Amino acid sequence: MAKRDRATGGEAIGDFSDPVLISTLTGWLEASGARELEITTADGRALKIVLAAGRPVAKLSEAAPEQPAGGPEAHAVKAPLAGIFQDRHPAAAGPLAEEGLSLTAGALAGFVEVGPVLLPVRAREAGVVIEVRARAGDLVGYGDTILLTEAAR
Amino acid sequence: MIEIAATGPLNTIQDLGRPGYRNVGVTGCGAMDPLALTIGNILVGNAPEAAGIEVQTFPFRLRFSERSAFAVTGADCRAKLDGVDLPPWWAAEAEAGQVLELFPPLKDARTYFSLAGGVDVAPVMGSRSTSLRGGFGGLDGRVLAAGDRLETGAATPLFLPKDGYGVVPPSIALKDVFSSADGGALVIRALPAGEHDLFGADAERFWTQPWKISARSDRTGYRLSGDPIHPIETVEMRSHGVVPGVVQVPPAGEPIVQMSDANTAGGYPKIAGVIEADLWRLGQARIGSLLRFVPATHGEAKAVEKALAAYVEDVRRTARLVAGALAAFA
Amino acid sequence: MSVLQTAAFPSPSAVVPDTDGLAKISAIGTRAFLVEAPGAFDLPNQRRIWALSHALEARGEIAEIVPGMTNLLVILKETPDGPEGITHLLQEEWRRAQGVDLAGREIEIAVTYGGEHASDLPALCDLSGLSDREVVRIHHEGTYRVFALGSAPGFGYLHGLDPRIHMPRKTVPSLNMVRGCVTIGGMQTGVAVLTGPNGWNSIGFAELQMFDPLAAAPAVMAPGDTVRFRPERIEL
Repeated sequence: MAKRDRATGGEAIGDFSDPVLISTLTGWLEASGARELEITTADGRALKIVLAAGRPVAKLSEAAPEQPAGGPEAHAVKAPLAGIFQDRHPAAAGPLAEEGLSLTAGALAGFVEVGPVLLPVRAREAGVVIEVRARAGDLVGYGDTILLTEAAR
Repeated sequence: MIEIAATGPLNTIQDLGRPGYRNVGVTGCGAMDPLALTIGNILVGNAPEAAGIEVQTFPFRLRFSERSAFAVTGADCRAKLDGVDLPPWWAAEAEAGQVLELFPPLKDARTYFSLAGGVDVAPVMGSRSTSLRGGFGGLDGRVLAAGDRLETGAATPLFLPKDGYGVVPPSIALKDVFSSADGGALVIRALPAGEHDLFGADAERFWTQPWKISARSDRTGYRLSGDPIHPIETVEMRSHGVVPGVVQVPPAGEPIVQMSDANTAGGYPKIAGVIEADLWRLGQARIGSLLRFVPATHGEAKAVEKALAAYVEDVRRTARLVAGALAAFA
Repeated sequence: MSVLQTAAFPSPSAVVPDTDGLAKISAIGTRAFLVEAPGAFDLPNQRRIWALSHALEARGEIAEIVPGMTNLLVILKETPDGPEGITHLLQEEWRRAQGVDLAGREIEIAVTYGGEHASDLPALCDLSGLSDREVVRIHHEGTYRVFALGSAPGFGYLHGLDPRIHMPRKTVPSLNMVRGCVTIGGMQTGVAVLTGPNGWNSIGFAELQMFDPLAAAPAVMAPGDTVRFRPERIEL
């Protein structure tokens, strides 16, 4: 998984060689159900992404390809979009979710960073964190499992 | 529409200001941290000139009368929507009846509330900014009070992510450009101004010593306290136009930095002028905090402006892309 | 908004100051430059400032032009790479600037001299050695020119005050001077447009509203206007 340092700059979404951008766009493309995406900038640069034939096109309604580990009770908290996972707000000191921590339904468990924009990673159901899969700085795809929770007993 | 439920004494409606009327004595006004207001407007899909609320006294509480996208940027005021924490520099959607609460920030001075469509008050001389001194603009030229109801302008149809979204705060995203504290003092870049050399050896002390922002500081200007500096000779200045950021030295020797509500004319000797791209940081500096001036050139000022503009443009473009992508998923 | 709202016409060459002195040009912010006329605080110098202002109006790189007292603040649209280019341009324009007069309006202001708002009239009498009647007579017999607007919305700095009634600004400002006070600050006079702290010396009161933010032309006065004070009442 790629790591990026915020301080190095070069995170403008117009940088078409950026693997994060390509990954992000690919994720969106998959999710939208389209097979092909072509972008041309004002200065004439172009990017074309074509999904490999035969690859299943994930629609949001069907997007539950991974069987979460940890038993049938486990609930996967997923990335809302492709980007860089951050386990805390850049202005905050500590991580939002750690193993053993309880999350309420709708609670913030981290962020996916797309350039300067932060998207929330939220738990849909209340539960205790049993496994944190993504580490801060990881490049994650749309729908990737960030962490697993289990309903408190 | 929104209704102000509770507010401190000095909170006003501001946009990016009322330029172009200094020649008739009208102050520019506008947000003390225009960067924060700009980002807030972008996050809710507003035009750059939309007005928001500048909150500098807390707690501040408002109620949404209808469903509305809003953003809270600037000083991290531990905002809560119906009791649920919002991250700093964040936009979300509120349902009718929900209450947004802003609490005293632990650092920085001013928080900006933006809402989709902007706060709709009648523009006066091309701006919705409140001119407290002139008694016009904003809401009848006055500070906000509990019970005030503010109309919302027409919002651009925009998909605001259901779970909300935010930005990496500029102080972090641009930490290489806006170096943080120097021994506890905020570093502010400034250009030497007309009477700089008149201060002789004291000019050196202007740049080297840390200055404390005194309690007699507000949107009009910051009075600094420190070891006084004096010109070698007293000059009788003729009144001339001034701009925010100009650092004047009155006879007592403690500098005043003019800010958003500054008088349009002045006559004290000027030792320096803060570069425009650093004014937003000064706008977030708190009473009692320290700052130090470092000399800059026009070239350096321009480089900082470019970095700032690139961040704003990156936010604008990425926010649009992300909103579009999530809309496609929904 | 145009600085010069009225037509400008060249004045006789006699009003052009006989100086080839350079203007002082300094940066007061990233985009703001101040041009200060060398020489006296007088009408010929102000006429050159008006001419400079007029000459710069059409330039696309300039966002705002703010005339002051024998000086001009020029605000650019963009931060320049360095001060050299704009400094050179401003110096050249200053060198070329011939004094112009502005075909301003004539404004008559009815004044109540003395009375409750003339809080500083006794002090001016002490300073000048003149009686209150003489001070009032000298003030209302004068003909004044609006040199510039500034400080507060619509406030006109008036030039032409008789040296006998010059009075320095206060070291401690009056905290709540009322809008409409007719005041003297050094060698200038003017009518307060806002109620609030004010360092000038009040000798009377005028009802005239100097500024309406909702009007097409918000300020009553404009640079170049001629102002006369008509004593409506004298309460001594």
